[in-house]
Amino acid sequence: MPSTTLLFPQKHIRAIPGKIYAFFRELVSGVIISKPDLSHHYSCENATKEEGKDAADEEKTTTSLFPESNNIDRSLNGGCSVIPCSMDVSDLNTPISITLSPENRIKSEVNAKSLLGSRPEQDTGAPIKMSTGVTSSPLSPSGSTPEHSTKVLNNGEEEFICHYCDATFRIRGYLTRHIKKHAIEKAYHCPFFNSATPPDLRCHNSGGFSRRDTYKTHLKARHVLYPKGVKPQDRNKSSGHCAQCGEYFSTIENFVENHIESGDCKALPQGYTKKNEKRSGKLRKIKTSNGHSRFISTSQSVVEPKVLFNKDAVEAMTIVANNSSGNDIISKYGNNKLMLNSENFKVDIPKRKRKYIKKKQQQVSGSTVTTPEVATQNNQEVAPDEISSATIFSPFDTHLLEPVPSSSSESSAEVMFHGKQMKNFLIDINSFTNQQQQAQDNPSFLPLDIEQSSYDLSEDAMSYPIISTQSNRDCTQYDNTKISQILQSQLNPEYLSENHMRETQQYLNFYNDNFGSQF
Amino acid sequence: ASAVGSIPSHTAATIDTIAPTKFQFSPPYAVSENPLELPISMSLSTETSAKITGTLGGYLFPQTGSDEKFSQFASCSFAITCAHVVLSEKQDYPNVMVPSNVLQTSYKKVLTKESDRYPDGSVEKTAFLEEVQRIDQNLNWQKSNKFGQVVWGERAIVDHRLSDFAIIKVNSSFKCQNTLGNGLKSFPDPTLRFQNLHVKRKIFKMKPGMKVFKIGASTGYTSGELNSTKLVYWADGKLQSSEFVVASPTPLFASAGDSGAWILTKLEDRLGLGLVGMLHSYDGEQRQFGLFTPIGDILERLHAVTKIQWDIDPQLDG
Repeated sequence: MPSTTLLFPQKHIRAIPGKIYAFFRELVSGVIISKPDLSHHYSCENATKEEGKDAADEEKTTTSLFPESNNIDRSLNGGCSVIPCSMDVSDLNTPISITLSPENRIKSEVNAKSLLGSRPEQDTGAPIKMSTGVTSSPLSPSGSTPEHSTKVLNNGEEEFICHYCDATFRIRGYLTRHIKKHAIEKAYHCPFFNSATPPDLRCHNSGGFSRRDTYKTHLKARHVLYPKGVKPQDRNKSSGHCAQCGEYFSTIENFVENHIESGDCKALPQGYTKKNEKRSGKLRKIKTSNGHSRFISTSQSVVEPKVLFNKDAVEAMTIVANNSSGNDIISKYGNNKLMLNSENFKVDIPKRKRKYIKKKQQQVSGSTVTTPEVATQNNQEVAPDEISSATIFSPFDTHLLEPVPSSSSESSAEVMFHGKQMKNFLIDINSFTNQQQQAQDNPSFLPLDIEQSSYDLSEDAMSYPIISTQSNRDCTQYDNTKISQILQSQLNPEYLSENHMRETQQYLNFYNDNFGSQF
Repeated sequence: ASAVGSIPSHTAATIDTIAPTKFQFSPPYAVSENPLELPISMSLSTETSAKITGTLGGYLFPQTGSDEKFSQFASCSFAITCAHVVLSEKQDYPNVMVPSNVLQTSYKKVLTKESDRYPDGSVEKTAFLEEVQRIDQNLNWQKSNKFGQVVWGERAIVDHRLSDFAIIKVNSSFKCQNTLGNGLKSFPDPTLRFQNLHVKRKIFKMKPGMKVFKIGASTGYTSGELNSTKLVYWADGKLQSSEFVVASPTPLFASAGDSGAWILTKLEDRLGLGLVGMLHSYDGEQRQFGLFTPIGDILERLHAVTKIQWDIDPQLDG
């Protein structure tokens, strides 16, 4: 129709306004037609809502007092600079942990803290303005956080973090076993592995094993011929032939020790000795400035790329580099991986001890605790340190069994449960507040009165101290104020943002250096 | 009676039939001595949720005055928590469980798993399975005696402030009082007892540096100081709001699971607690900051939405 009208312009020129009107009318009617659909949609939604409200008595209330529908802006759920405090248990592997005490008390608690530290770094815009007006100068970054923070982070338990992949373990032994897998040179090698053979004919993809058990399993699985029908789990008890030399064994149990490692097998390559093995590296602990601990192995190991997004890891590597003699501390490995060589990483244990004794002597001779000394204490905690059995529980200690105070001190047990985040902190305070009186005693002694006193270090709570002796109260008050001052100064926004900037810059430099990028 | 005393008395009848064991369980969530009288700050989740859990803030009461139109609400009690706790899933008007269904189910799972570590018939295994059974009984009881149902919720930026709360109409069989309850005896602050467990007043005038505390379902009692407001960005910076901040001198003022907990302070001129606001988010690398909505804003918003006044105490003449 429009085409015909265009063919006869003169004839229809007067009808143009009418046609425009008709066009708009059509357009409008098209829009209006969709409206009933929408209203239908809403009514459906309402219907489902009504169904949801099966409690009929509430229906009246809801409809007349509150608006019809909830006002939920879903866009608030993503991309925000703060985190809502509701817990999504599906994010946690173990939302609840159980501890068993020797007195058959079974305590459980929500692992709300386990996500702490894993929070992605976010630029939260304007820094929080502190209204308390802290005037003291910020402490040096290296001494900024007291030692207790590591433990607080980890639900009151020491957590063992693998520096190479950020995996965490509650038991040190598991980390020791795990960390071997990052070593470049494997501890065990299959003597029959031949890299010259095509990949699909090889007995193993690399021939290297970081764990002895997997190494032995490999030899027994790939280099022994079993009678038909023997299931893998029954292999140890079964008889079999060495697949390489053909020798018969009535039991395969000690096949690896008696036949391979002893050098008895005729098929072993020439010059094979029981190369048992490059000893796997030792575990070393690095403490970063914010009190987090990371563990490295002394053998050359590969750092997973993702770890480099963790600023703790970057700082830990800097610590390793600063405390190692030798040049090739960090080098490229493959396309996107880094190799960390910490063989020469120095650990200075006696230093710590000397400092402690020195301080103790000072205390005895009557000198008071001064600010520089507090700083020394903090600085010292940053120094990398080998794990000492005095501070780290053995695997058996940490394994689910947390020491719980005896039933005679009910209150302290309760406090431990709820105020766990403060527990280690108090022990820290205690360790140097009580030195004055306790120089002759065991330094790890924790008096009951401290344990039972208020965990709130604010002035408010300090008006209700439950402390038995006058001298004890004096020094505790003194140090509590000191500690609160230090903590307050750490919350100084300028210092926090400066620190944040500096760390980001350090990380960027580090990244650019290693990957040759130009960010 | 049984030596096991973790689950409240409404299941006592069934517990009696089970042989006493020497194990004492303490669940990771607060339980009330009287299941029909739930103190504030207990854990809370919807009945169907398998994931999200938060904290019961407290109770609010409509002040209908002498208006006939609203007289039917005069005796009703409502509970408040964060909207993102109860309205994050599809359902619009979910039933709510206190203590949290999510925590109880997770606790049950952990106990069941733990019981597998012991041989069949051992005292440990029996004790664990008995505890599991008690949780089941409790869950069933809660399902047949519903705490309440969400009637309205909002999570949006209103006037440059986050308005994030949900109102739960509490079943009339429950007694609602804004008290921390006697069951929670292990506060680090020894003065929190007797009258100091009751929320007496709303605090509208917030002074920076004011000492406040919260009791959350996850992290329990933590304290801090009021700070000024902080600009918060939402939806990738498209929305902004300014939020009040509590700063704690120690890490972990609040964490996941504490949403909805009331920010309280001890009154200076009399015994009792003052209500400052409701916690909704945390911030800071050490989670030392808690963000909250002042109670004044919440009540104002409720007034705007419902056209009636609300308060933390029931109406006297009602």
